[in-house]
Amino acid sequence: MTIQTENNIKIQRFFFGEMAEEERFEFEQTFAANPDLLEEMRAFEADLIEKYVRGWMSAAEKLKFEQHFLNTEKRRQKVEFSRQLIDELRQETNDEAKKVSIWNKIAGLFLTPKIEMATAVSIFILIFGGWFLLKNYETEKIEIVKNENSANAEISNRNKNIAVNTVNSNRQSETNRSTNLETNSTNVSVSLPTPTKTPEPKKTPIPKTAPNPVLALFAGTLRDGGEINELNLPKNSSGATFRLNLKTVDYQTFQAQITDGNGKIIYRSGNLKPQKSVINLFVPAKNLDKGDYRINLYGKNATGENESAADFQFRVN
Amino acid sequence: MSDNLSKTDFERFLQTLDSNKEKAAEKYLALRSSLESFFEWRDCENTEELTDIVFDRVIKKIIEGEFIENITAFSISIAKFVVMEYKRKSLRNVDLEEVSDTVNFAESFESDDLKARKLNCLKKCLAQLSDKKRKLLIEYYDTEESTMIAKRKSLAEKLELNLNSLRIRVSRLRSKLEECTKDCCGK
Repeated sequence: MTIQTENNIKIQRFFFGEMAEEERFEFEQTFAANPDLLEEMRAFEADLIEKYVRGWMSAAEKLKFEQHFLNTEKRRQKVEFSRQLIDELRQETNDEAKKVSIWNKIAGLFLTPKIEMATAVSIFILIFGGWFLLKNYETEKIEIVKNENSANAEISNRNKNIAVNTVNSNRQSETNRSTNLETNSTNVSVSLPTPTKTPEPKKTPIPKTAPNPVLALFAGTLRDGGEINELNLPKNSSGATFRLNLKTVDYQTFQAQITDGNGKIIYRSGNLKPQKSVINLFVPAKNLDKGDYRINLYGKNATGENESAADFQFRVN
Repeated sequence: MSDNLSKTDFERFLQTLDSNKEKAAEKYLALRSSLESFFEWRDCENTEELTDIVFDRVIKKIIEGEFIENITAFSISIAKFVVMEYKRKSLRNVDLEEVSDTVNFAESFESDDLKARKLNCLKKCLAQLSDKKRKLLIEYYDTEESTMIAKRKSLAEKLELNLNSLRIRVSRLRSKLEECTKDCCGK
């Protein structure tokens, strides 16, 4: 337990960049030779990421984490993965909870002592009511047999009442019913309920989102006539896709950065993989105000260094 | 591994790790994994390539007849030099890492398209997990900050583990899921 605590302190110092180089290297040699310690470090790293993603870090911790941990793309991807994983699992938890709660509610109705009593009474009423109706029905049948003429008159009156009570839209069906009543007097025992029209479900308006425009760009910045490529970005679009056409594909992975007219970097992409000689680069609309922009495309060489690969230019209207 | 090295060179390296082929392969994978973590935690991007460079150099030393008593320690020492070389080269090149002015880059780094693709892959990978493993993940993350320790302790007890073993088990499962998601997105 003491060793574990000691390890935890060391691991924490390691991840927050609090170890001097010599101590750090010594620790690296230790974890490289000790698979259990390495596993523990990975678990610690996962915990740290979870704390960050779920907003459980203090401001100071968050700052340290962003300065010392989120400085490589690989780690940022890890953070993104955690965010998606936790969201997805929490979603499943919520879905399960909903399912369980519906059944719990139904089951709960029969488990409360008060409701148990009410249920028993309801069942009794149902049985008794059923018996009562059946008894009346039998009596009525006898009456009908006794005096056929009076029975027909009664039925005709009932049909009139039904016709008055029925909503206009269901007139036709009610007429059919009354015809049935007239032709088969033995079916009449209880007055029919007035049918109600099921209200149509309210249609939720679908938010209108403009499609994201696609702009094809070719290395060499300007169009043939010396004109700049223009992008018309609709107000409601979430962003634009740039199809960057390369003359040659000399790298497996690329990275792009976009600068505005003042040379300020307004967007930086993750790793981009070319499809044949085209790279698709999606840029969120929030990064694209009206103005001129330049895309600098960098290719990653075998040792992971960025080399300038191509430039593209465009204007947002 | 570089093209200059032959299959026999690599086998000789494995032999140095362990005379038993299977054990040697296991040790190689474990060392590889340690080196990749070493590079990752030293802020390097291309961890796999750098790990290959380390193995190339270690194998060359073995071929040259150098006696290496502790391959792990030796490899880490070489890895340290490789990191220094990498950092020096990075400084000479365009440093894209420092130019970002995006405040919360962890949130905005990936495009929406990529995020959607990754999420789709994650869902597929989660669906491939056994019910038991998926349930473990769901229960592990079904907590708030205030209840986290108590809930996870209770989950560990239910599984007859201690809290640390549970964390490691979940961490392994996450790593596998992450790999699965990467493979799926790379297809």
